[in-house]
Amino acid sequence: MTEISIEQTAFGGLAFADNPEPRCACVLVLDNSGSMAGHKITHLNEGVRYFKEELLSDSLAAKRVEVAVVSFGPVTERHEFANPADFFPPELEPEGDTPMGAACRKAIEMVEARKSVYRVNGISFYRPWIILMTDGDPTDSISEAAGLIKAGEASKKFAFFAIGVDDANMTRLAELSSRPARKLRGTSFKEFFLWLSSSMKSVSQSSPTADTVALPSPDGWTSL
Amino acid sequence: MSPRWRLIYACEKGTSHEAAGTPCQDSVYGDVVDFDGVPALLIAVSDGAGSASHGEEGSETACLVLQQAARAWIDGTGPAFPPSDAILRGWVQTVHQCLVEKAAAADLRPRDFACTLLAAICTPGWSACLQIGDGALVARDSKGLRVIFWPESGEYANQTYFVTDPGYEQHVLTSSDVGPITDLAAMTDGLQRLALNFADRSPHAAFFEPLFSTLRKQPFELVEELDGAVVQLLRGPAVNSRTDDDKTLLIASFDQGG
Repeated sequence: MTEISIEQTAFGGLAFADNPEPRCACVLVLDNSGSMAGHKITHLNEGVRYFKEELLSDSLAAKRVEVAVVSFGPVTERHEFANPADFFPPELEPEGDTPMGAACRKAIEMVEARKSVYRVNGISFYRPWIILMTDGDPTDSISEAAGLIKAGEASKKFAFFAIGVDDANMTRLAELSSRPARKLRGTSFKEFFLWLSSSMKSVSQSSPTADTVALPSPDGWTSL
Repeated sequence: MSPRWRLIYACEKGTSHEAAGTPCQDSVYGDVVDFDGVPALLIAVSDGAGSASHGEEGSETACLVLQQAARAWIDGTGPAFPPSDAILRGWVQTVHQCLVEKAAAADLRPRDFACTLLAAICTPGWSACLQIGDGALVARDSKGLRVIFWPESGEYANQTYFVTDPGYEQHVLTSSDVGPITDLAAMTDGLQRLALNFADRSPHAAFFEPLFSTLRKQPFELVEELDGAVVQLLRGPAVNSRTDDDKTLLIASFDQGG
């Protein structure tokens, strides 16, 4: 057995480099317009809290994922980018109208600004994700946002996902997003955020030699 | 005593591949070749892409074909001069073509065999290195320890370049004038963040020095026993808590003899 212990301790004295973890930015663009009142906003808030817990439970995702929140309307930055441990899910309340276009533009600006911070600090990063969740119809023009999203997706600047809740105008969501807009089944916010955290775990743990990331199936929360 | 190289290496499956039941997609080759009486260290390391269905076969083939190309060059020349950059690029081209043909023969796409490639040939008088994609070669010359080519990734942390890519030529890095070196390490990207300092793009001395000093002290006839220590290191919880990827580590040290 002596030989084994020699092998185990042969390189015992080495120490690892302390590099910043690569980051995976995720912006939640959440509708808190008047129509979200009641069960919807309660379940949405609960879902975001659940999202934090799920990310915290995974050691690599806890170090690598950064979450920010934009709510609309009015368009408000509710939370700047933070690791799951420093992310404090906001308690959204139903407020105004549905300025979806402006909210999406705000999220895109935040993502680009965050990438600049990463670059300046020599932090490597994964493609950021922007998640839009709404139950309504945009009350502002979405054409500029739609153009930015199409261009951003085409140049792989970010990945944009549009999730419709309840009576959301799925046609307008489809105009906004390059990927197929998905409809949330009932108030399956928790199931959605479980899927999102699993997806974030997959993305944040994909190695440089995995150029495509296999995401979990969205069947648990969407009805097509 | 005549000059010689001490050489140890190992490849270990990442914990994420362990969980998914996929094979280790890294490959490594290392040997000391007699180059007209001069001992030449010849090494190759390759990381098969996680997204490639035949990444394991790709990386194995890349290492095999690279060493065959290098040996064919050794057989046709003398050890006075290193291979030129054009010759080094030619070896990479041979690997690329071989993988493209292998894919065609199996009715698959080249990207199904996607892999990175790092290689070095070192004699007492000179060294030459090549690389495509990430992973790193670290060498010690008279000026100290340095990373030969800083690992190249794309815009995002999970993107790199492969020898099977259509435009791979643009990302082939070669250096035929590395000069004489006394220590060499090669690794795939699974170990990069543990062994390199990203802030100043330097080798992390506290990682490498214990490896090299242990290897240098090992009696020559017992060098192979240290392969097990590399395996233990790569399998250990200290490494696995920092990376879930496949990882390869090769360490070589030159002994002047005499």
